[in-house]
Amino acid sequence: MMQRMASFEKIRDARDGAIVVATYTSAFEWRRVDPDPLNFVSVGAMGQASSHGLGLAIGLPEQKVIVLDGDGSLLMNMSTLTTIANEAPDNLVHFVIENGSYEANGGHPIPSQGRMDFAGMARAAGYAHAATYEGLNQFAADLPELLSRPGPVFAALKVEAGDAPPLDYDYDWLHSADRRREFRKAVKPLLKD
Amino acid sequence: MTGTVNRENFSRRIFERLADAGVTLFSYVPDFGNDELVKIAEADNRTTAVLLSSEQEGVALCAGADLVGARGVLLMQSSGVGNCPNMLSLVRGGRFPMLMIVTMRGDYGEQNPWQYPMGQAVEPVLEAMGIQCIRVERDDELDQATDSAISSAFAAGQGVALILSQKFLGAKAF
Repeated sequence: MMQRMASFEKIRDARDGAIVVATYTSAFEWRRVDPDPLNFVSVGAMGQASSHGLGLAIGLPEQKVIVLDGDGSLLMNMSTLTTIANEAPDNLVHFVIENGSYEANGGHPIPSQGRMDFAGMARAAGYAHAATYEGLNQFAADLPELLSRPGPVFAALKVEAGDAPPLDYDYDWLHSADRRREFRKAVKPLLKD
Repeated sequence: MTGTVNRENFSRRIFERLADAGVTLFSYVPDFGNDELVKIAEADNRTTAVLLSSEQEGVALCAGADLVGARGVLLMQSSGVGNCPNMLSLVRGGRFPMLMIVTMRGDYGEQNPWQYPMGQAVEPVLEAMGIQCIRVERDDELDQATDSAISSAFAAGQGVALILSQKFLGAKAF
């Protein structure tokens, strides 16, 4: 198991200008690790982060798109694995932060806790590559390759539940129109005419 | 099959209006009522068709595309509307434009009783989530209704569904 915060710091260090879509508790933690206008925060309905990421990846095929999904969130929209594998965007990297719980609403266990092989599901769905990481060192070692190989790439990161210092659940920030305006402004130079 | 509508003809008319409005991304769950439109979108080099596994994915996908300046449309049968409400929170909460085209079952002339509950709930469900419904009953309504839906979504930034009724499409004998 790794600390989520530590895995995020590795992703931040390797990010290299990628768009990052982060969901729920990951979004608050990611915001603290790497406050960057090319972050899009996906909340409001569980499960949509990877579908957002697919839309971004199709809309901007030259740009790397990283999704920081949750295990509970992915379970709510599992069909996304098939859709992404079928569309096969080579610029999409789908990380699932696996802590075995619905953390945002109180840390209740997910139904598949400890039994589900998320990377196995992604591999079976047809992702170009799928792996599971239990330890930070191996993840850090493989991260450059995960971000550079043709996607769609999937990696499940086994993290300790609730390992973060108390988070500032700033929903005003999360839902603000300013956030999306900031993102659109940051993405503008990346768009082709 | 009741009705005399020419699916190739009406699908082409919808497609040209969408393409002229800059819609490039056609996300869909396949249905008898949208298959011609999808075929046209697949064949045209201006547009991409994205096959979804569940309709709810398309809501988030179109919002993601919008963030990077791409316009999308979400095509589904009426039954698929039942999979969308929670995801449609995005439209109000995130102020995203959302253009849906719903091909109806469970209304005029439907012969399959299983299609009625969701078919009859389509407009109340969409309206409850803040999605405007523009219904097409006759062929001579289609062009203006399509233009209205496009304006609502992309000029005004609203959530809107173009509802192609079974009176317009014809009721299937299955």
